[in-house]
Amino acid sequence: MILLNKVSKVYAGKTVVNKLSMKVKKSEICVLIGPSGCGKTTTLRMINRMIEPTEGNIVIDGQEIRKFKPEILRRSIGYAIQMVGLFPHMTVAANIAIVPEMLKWEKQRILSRITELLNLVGLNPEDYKSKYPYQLSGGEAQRVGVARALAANPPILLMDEPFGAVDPLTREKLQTQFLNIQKELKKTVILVTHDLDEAIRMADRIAIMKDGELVQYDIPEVILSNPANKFVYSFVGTDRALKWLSRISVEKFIKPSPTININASSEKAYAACIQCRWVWVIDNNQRLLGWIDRTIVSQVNSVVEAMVQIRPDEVAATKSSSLKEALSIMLNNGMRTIPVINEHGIFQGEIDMIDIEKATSGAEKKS
Amino acid sequence: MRNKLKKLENNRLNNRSIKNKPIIFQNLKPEYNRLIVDKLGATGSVIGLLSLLFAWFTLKPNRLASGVVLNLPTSSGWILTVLLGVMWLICLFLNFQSKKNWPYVILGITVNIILILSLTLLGSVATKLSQENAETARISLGPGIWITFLAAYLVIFSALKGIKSNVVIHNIFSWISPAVFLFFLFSGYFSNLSVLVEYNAQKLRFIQEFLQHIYLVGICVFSASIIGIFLGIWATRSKRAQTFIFFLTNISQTIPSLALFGLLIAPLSALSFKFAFLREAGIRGIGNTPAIIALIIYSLLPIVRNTYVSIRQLDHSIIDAGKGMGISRFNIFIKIEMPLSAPLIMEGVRIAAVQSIGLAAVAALIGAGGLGWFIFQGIGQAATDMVLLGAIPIILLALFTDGFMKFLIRLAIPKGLPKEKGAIN
Repeated sequence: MILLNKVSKVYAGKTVVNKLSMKVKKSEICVLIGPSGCGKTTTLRMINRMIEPTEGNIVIDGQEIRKFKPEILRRSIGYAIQMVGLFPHMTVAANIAIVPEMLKWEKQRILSRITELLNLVGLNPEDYKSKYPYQLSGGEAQRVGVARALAANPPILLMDEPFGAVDPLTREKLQTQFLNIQKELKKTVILVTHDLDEAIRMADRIAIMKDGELVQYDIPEVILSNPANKFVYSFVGTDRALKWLSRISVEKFIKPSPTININASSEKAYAACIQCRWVWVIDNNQRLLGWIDRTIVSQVNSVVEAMVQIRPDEVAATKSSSLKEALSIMLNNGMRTIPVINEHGIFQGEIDMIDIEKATSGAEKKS
Repeated sequence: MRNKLKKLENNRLNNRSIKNKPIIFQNLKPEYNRLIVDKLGATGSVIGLLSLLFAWFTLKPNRLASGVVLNLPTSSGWILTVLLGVMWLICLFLNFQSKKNWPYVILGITVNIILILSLTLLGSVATKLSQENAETARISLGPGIWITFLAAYLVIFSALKGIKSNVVIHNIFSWISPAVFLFFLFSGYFSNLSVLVEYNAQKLRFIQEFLQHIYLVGICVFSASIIGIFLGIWATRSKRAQTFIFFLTNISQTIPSLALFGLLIAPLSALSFKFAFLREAGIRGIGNTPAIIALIIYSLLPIVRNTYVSIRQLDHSIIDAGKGMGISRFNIFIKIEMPLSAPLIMEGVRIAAVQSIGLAAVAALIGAGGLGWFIFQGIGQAATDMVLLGAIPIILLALFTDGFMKFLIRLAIPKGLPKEKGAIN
């Protein structure tokens, strides 16, 4: 647990952080967000004593951080920054090995840790171990940066726009990957960003800052549905309902729906269509192929003939995607109901726009 | 028969396709078909041709008297003159050509033959003339031969540029003639040339002054590196130190070398007069001490500047990440800043070393000796050969040091940095 107690930082008469108090719970991702110059990076850097607070104190797990030598403190706190800052004259392996080496780990342990970490961030150790930073793409460098921050298995991770310097597509991949890693490792993470979408996606708790002060500190759902003041309201934007949808997984809203095997007879198909207007068509492996409509099924002899073929990757939502993505698929295809599949393409059920509307109205009701 | 028919058919098709092309396309032929003039090589060849018109040798009755100018036909005969002329013409012709490899290879061979032929000529003409004339007679080199060397190297450069990516041929073309030159030099083939006559007359003195020169430069570059790197690092750490250090080093660079050597005499002799221990340590107003101090002052600027820039240009995020990971300030310096900035710092040392080799010549004026001694003695006696005996080794020493340092710098570039990116100049 990290406790900031009335922490202030003054630079040459200018107050950058003003009596900021907050508590970051263990194993949570806390995202600091705000317009540039709001003091979020300064706050982050005070936690590992890169910047010394002018006033107030910071307590980690009951110990005041001023009691430790800065170097010693920093070795137990992972640190990843936007520009990554990999050492260009060292290989990927050597970059990752730095903190473990300072902590005097055994060689064998360091080597196995490097392999473990590279696997964790999704880079093949054999290919990447001996590469130099200039041979990496932006995304790969960011991953190595995260691996390096995790090297000595620190309980706390400080990240300053760690996914900032890559293209949006790569950023989304890295975010998803990091969330998966976090599920496993359960670090206490403080992440600075200026990207609200990133904050909503990643955060267990969002701290919105303005002019060195904490404006609102709460779980994303509350920030979105119940902005504390006008600033937060405008910062969150008018599309806060959509942003809220991006936090909710499709999984909870899947409804079971009738399916029919592609090889089934037309009578069976007709029977299936009596209850509802359409039926999803699957193959023997439960993979989604298309749908048949009630109006057509009576005029044809087989399911194959009646089926409207679809491409699952364009029309179906996956189980792990968010309601926002599902809604986007609906709008793209002009459908009010879309099928849901899992990551192996197996049919799971369907999701309806009405359910999404209910979800948003639920969010509004909270406010 | 069938093949023949096919060939004819092909020819017909090709011809037709050219004819059918619109005129505008016929004019836009691909570039490799066009005749290209290699300007560098062509200029070199023309200069080479012109060099034949200049005096190649000067024959003086003794060391100091003014001499008779001998041009190429009178000294070496018409056949050789025409031969050299024809070869230069071949070089010129080879520079008008399409972008292919082989003309450049022939160009490189021809120009090296010219060089080796000229070197052979030097020795043989010198030997012949010295036998024909009195023992005191001196045979020295005229402008023609220097211009030939210059022209030859222009052509070699253009040939090397044309032959891409063949290291073996590159090395052969650039080093065969210097190798022949060195062979002639050490085998005594050139010993009748005036500079070498002068050298043989003062062999011991030459070796002594040569070593003294290296000693002066060595001490000064070594001390200046230590002081300069320290000052450079200090300048990166404090803004006030930076202003002060650069003010001093910049100012010192503007003092004329002769003046600085002279200015040091008075305070140093006063100090050595006052303190006996300094006098015992060999510190005096003239001699090594003022020379080394002056040379160090001049060497500081390039080293300080390069050290400062090399550390400043490092990506700030690297240092920030290092700090954030808990690397101590000292280790960041040793393990990150130093390896990454070493090549650029060494570049400063290289500049300082090459510059000091030239400047150390002036040190002879305040009694520090070195190769400059021959230059100033030569000027005093109006003996050109003696001036050259000092000047030529200084040039060669500077070129060698330059090449050697560049080699070291390449070695110092950390593995993770691409060589092309890390190399400076």
